[in-house]
This record gives sequence, C-alpha cells and structure tokens, in this order.
Amino acid sequence: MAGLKNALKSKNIATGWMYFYIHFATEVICFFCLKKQMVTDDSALLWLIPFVYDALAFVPQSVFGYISDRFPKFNAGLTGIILMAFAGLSFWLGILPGRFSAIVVLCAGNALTHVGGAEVTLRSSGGHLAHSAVFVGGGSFGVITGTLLAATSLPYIAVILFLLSAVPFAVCAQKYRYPGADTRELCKDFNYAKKNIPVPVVILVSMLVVAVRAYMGYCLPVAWKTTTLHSALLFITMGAGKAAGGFLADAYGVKKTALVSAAGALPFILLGNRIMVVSLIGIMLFSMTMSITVALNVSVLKGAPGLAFGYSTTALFLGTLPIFFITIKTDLLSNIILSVFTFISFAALAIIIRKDEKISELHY
Amino acid sequence: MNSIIDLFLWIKVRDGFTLVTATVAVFIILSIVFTVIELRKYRREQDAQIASTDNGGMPDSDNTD
Repeated sequence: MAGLKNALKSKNIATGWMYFYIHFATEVICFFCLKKQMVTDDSALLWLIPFVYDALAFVPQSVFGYISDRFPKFNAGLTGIILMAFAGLSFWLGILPGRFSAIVVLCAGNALTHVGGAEVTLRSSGGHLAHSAVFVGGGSFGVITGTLLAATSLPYIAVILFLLSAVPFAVCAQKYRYPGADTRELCKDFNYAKKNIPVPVVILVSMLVVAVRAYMGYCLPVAWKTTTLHSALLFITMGAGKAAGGFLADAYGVKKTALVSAAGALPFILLGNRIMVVSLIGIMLFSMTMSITVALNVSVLKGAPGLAFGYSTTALFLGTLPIFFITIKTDLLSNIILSVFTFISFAALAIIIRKDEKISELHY
Repeated sequence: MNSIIDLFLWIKVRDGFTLVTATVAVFIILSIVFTVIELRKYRREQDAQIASTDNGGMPDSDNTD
C-alpha cells in the first residue's frame, strides 16, 4: 500500500490531472461535433466520418510529436485547443467549405492536444507512468460525454466555451514541460524495455499490443450493454482502468501490472458477456496497459517522447482499421480472436519488459 | 485555390478514402524517417561520449596538438 500511496503523490502529478481535463474537453468537442455530423441518411458518410477521424486524429501524432520534440517552447496543447474551437465554430457557422474541411481541422487540433499532453506528462514525470496514465484516462470520459451531449439540443457555442475553459490549464501545464531542459535527461528514468532487444522490435511489439487492445475494444462481447447508462459505465471503466494502470505500475512494477492485466482481463471479458460487473472488471484490466506501452516506446526514444507517444496512437488507428472492413458475426469466432490476441500480447509484453526489481531501484 | 476547396469537398467517397489512406501512409513513412534520424543522433552522441571518455575526458585528442 505504501507504494500505491507514493504513486498517488508522485511529483508533478498535477500535470496529469491538468491534461486529464484538457483531454476530457478535447474528446467532448470532437465527439459532439462528429456525432452531430453523423445525423444523416447517407450510409457512406456514416462509415467515412469515423474512418477519417480515426486516421487524421491518431496517425499524425507521431509527426506532430517529433516537431514538438524539436521545438520545446511550442505549446501544442494550447494550439490544439484553438484549432478545435475554430473547427467547432466552423461547424456552427459554416466558415469552412464542405463537411470534411472542419473535420480535418478538428483532427489536427485533437492530435496537437494529445501531443501536448504526452510531452508535458512524460517530461515532468521523472520516469513514472501515473502522469501519462491520468492524462490518457480523461479521453474515455470525454468520448461518452460528447456522444451523449450530441443527442441533446445543446448549441455548439456551449461546447466551444467548455473547451476554452481548458486554456488556463494548457498554459500552466506548459511550464512543467521544462522547455529549456535536455529531453533525454528528463526522460532518463524511462527504462522499462530490456536493453538487449533492438529498438525497432520494442516499438513494433508495443504497437502490436496497442493495436490488439484497440481491436479488442470494438469486438468486446457486451450483450449486457443495452442502455445509455451501460454505455456510460463502459467508458468510465475504460478511463478509470487506463489511469489505474499507471498508478499500479508505479506502485507494484510495470511488468507485474502489464502481465496481470493482460492475462487477467480475458476470463472476465469472456465470462462477462451477459454479466455487467464481471465484464467491467475485465474491461478495466484490459485498459491498464495503455500507459505501459507508451512508457516502453519512450524507453527506447528518450530524446523524442512526442514521437514515441505518436507510435501508440498510430497503432490505435491500425488496430481499429479491421472493423471498417470486416464484420465478425459469431460470438465463438470473436472469442477465439480475443483469446489468441490476448495470448500474443501477453507473450510480447513478457519478452520485452525488464524485470521489476531493477525498475524499482530507479524509482523510490 | 479551387482545387484545394475541391479536395476538401470530398465529392466522391472513394476519392476521400484514397486521400486519407495516402495521408496515413505519408505520416507513417515520416514517423519511420524521424525515428531513424533520432536513433542515429543518439548513437552519434553515445559514440562521442565514449570517445571523450577514452581520451581521458578530452573531447578530441587531435585538437590538443
């Protein structure tokens, strides 16, 4: 328990909470705008809008991240908020031509906000995972809030003003990015990947784990999810799981947390198809590896945390890609795929993560 | 200017799909290029560090002549 208390009180953990709010506001406006655009009879648009969003919000983050790594004084989070506010105004007032030009701006803003969050939380954490875990956890809460708000008659301006309420946090958090410091020095305590494994292998394996988790997120057997409250609980659990994963990894070790959560999630997910509580335990466990995969990438790219984070989001897109083209019709096949992928993730994580004893020496 | 607007109007779904796929490919290639640059830079720094340690802390022995 002492380890967990230490993790909860980590130095600069406030950066995680500041970007939790920014990330929350980001996903609220993104999903509010997207769901509003998807109120259409055109089935092609219902397919294309999520595809464009996933592609252009997730994939550019590695390139934006690298640019941000090279220009540490650039406030990516603040720039992202401004771009998303402009996109929201454009949806509202029709400033930009066509439907997709505003979506492209919205995606760019979303990507920049994520990059800002990654830069601040990774550079200020001193090798801890809780900061980035809290930051990524905020997104799930925002996705469900934005989706629910889109079904109401709330005007665009209300959501835009809510997004702008995150500006002070983006300005304050920038200070904790330590723009004048050496990035490699700030991230020197991220040593979670085994030294003898080549860098491309570490990146590919962590991308594989992220992609598998992203794919699993879409084919989870959740027959119990029949109401809006159930959907909200699902996303809240996902967000809480992502944040909890970082704290547990700091407290009990990255390898233990990664392996227990990867292996432990499967039985709960498979047995919880019709039992909500069992399923939610599985979903929480399965969300815990998010910050661990980011930390693995940073471990091999210490000088470029933005680029390292971007690999995780690129993998998120690659993981969701199959659902745009393939529909799995039977529960049995879906369960077999889930089991095989979980085993692959477990094995991959076991191979590339360093032993916890060595990590603990670096921490407390 | 018109062509840029046309680009964003996404007149046909298929064109939009192709454009997004191409954009994704470009970003992934750029990520790989940047990673290679970053790793080479890191290796150069490490080599320089090792060289300076071998020279008893002097950055470059040729410059001491």
